[in-house]
Amino acid sequence: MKRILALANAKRTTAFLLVALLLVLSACGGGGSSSGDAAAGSASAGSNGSGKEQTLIIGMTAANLPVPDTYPTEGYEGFRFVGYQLYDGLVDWDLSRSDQPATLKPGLAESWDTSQTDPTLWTFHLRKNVTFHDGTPFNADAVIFGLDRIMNPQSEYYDAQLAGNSGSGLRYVDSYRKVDDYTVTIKTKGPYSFLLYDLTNILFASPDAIKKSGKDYANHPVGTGPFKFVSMKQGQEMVLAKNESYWGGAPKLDKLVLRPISDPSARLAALQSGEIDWAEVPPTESIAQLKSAGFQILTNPYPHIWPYVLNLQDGPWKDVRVRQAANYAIDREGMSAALLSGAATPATQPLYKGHAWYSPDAEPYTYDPEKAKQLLAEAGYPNGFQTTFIVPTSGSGNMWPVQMNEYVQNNLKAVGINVKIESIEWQTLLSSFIQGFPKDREVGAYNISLPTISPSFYSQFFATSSIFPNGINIGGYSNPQFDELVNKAMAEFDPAKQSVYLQQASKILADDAPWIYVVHDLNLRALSPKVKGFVQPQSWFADLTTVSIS
Amino acid sequence: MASFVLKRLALMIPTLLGVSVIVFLMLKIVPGDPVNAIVPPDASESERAAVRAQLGLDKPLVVQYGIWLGRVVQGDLGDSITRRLPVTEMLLPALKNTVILTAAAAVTAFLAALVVGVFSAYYPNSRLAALFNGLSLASIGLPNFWTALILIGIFSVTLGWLPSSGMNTVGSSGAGDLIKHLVLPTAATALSSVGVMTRMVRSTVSGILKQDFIFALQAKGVRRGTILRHVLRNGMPTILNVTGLQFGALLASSVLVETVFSWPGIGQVIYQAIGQRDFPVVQAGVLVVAIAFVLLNLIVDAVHAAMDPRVRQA
Repeated sequence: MKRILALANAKRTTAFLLVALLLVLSACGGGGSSSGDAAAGSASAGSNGSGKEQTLIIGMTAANLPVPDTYPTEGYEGFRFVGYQLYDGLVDWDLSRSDQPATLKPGLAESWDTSQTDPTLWTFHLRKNVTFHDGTPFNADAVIFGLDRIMNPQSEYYDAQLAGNSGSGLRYVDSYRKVDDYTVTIKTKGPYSFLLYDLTNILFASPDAIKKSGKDYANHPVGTGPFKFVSMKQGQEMVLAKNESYWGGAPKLDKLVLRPISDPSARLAALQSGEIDWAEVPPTESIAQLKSAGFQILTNPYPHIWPYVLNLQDGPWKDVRVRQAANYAIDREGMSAALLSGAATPATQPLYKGHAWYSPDAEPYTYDPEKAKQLLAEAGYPNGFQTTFIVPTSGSGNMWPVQMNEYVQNNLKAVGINVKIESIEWQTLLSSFIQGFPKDREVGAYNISLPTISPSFYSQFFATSSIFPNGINIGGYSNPQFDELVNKAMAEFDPAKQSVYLQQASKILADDAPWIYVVHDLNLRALSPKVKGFVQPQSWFADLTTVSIS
Repeated sequence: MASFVLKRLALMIPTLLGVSVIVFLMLKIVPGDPVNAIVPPDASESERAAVRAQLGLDKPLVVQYGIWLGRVVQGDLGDSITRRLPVTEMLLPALKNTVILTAAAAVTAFLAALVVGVFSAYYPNSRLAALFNGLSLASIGLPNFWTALILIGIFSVTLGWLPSSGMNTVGSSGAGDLIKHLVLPTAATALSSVGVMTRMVRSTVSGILKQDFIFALQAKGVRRGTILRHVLRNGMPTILNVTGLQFGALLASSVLVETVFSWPGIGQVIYQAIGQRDFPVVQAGVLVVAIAFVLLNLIVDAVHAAMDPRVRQA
């Protein structure tokens, strides 16, 4: 009996194996031909730019695809490749030039003005004949719907999480109202000229699509942007297609494919083997090799800084001379050139030279260890002191934190400041940062990269009114003269005059040194030689409408 | 046999409950707040509180766990905090991809270990066996993410034979393409297990070769092929047991390999979710891996029991 059973089993197993084999074979056959087609397709696309489909494949640094809602995840990289490709704001970034910092330009609002009598009342004149990708017309109702979604808890489509994302950008908005189909007014809580910067983060989705998809909207996003959403495979790729009727002119590309490849070496390998056409932040040590292989290496400064946020409340850092000493002790040129192969540029104040808010009058911090020692001696620390810096191990915008922090540690040690580095994981650091400096032990600084895109960073990080726990001026920096300048800038609607105030504010920040300014990132990216027409802007973002594949 | 399996299945429940409690507590002990992963650093405390409330993170721990468990029992693993998708929608496709990778690696490792191990046991003094011995030692010592990068360097960048990342070439989804993408991650994942398993196969087989019944068979003039069959049958329970355990190890080691190769598997999903403190995903992910691990053990034991009556009766 047992024997017969065993025999039957053996037969069944053989049959099963045969079926499995057949399945695998047929799958291989089918797969073989389909991948062959794909190869033929991409080959012809590569050899012939006209008529054939043009596809750009981008390797992102993010670990996963940004969630394509109106406030995408994955930080500003999410805005760069998903947010501003699918959507527009009332105000957009002008990314067409590489020789000057990106400026604001009309987006879904054609123009705007503030009332002569009431500087808190803004009127936005909307662009006509714009439709969302699903055909829904863009008008004042769509704007009100979008603002309700993040500002009006009574609204049926209010999303607290989205509100938390974008809320800080709308903190100064008091109310908003539809005037007619193509006019919307926004009232701010006081005279607030930075509003336009805040509005670049508020993107508009098709109200019909949100009503239709509900909670599942992020899987079916619909905007007005240059590219339309096609498909998304978690952790693998997002495919976007050209919006033929884009109001700003249709993109040259037919298809845009985003791939998250968080490992820098893997991203480099994918670029070198031709799997992607565009790699964000390849490893710096590969720059020379990529250049000689014909890849386009692009760099340009943008409003990014890699600083130490100092603890001014107690301890040695309370003394401005100590802070200046630390700023003189750092070999920024050495770090930028030798350690980072030119992927960074020295920072001696919050913004870089050439930016409208950069102060040319501030004394730049050169590499001067002697001066640093002298300043330390004057401050009463001729033999230096001991301090602790909390630094991240990775994270968006933090560049190569481990190596860079060791470099700074050596620089500071040379003038007598002995830094104990406490490396913690990025999310942990963020949680710790927003709770201020620990009360029970000495911590001299946090190393954390912060964007300086909008002039509101002056008040967020440095104003007396933002001192923790009222805001995230966790160092406790306070200078009435600075506060006054920022308030003046906030109430000044002429951009040129506003810049003058902000320059003066920058000079104070340079002199008072509430941060150790180290470097500005240069937005390193490597493009395959066949990618044409891209302008590397001085911005966190990128205009892909001009890009083509030859 | 049926009662054996049933008993083991019943034992799974406390094991999995224990795993879920430990993972839940670990996530709460680790510093870091998922809210920080979704709101900008300058968001106000009230904005944070609103998000926290929407996510149900403001409730006491026990209540949070109770709610979670109640849903899991009904088959609802919750929604991802950062991805805003049902966790099952993220985990199931990822699990499938990991199973593809791990199974390929396990089969590769098993076959390689069997051939090399048996050869080394039969010819322990040959030069080839010495070479294999050295290689297997080295492969145990090499970290797999490093091996992965070296493999990419050689086969993708320099030779250009195989793709370096992902599961499919953009725009194609055939099995042939998948297999091409599978080769390097499989090799990198399998390598460390090959070393362990080869050494084990070799010592098992050489142990059996020294036993009396082998000498008896040889004395009877039985053909070498037949003897080998007897050797393998005697060695198989041990070998399968270790293979089963290694399968678990492969599942674990695929996390780093998946990250290097951008292989969209469950390891990558959990790895990212930990970075973002996406609690529901981590919890569900670990639970799914635990279930897979426990089931695997069960299968190995069942196969073992089927092959070895001594185990069955114990």
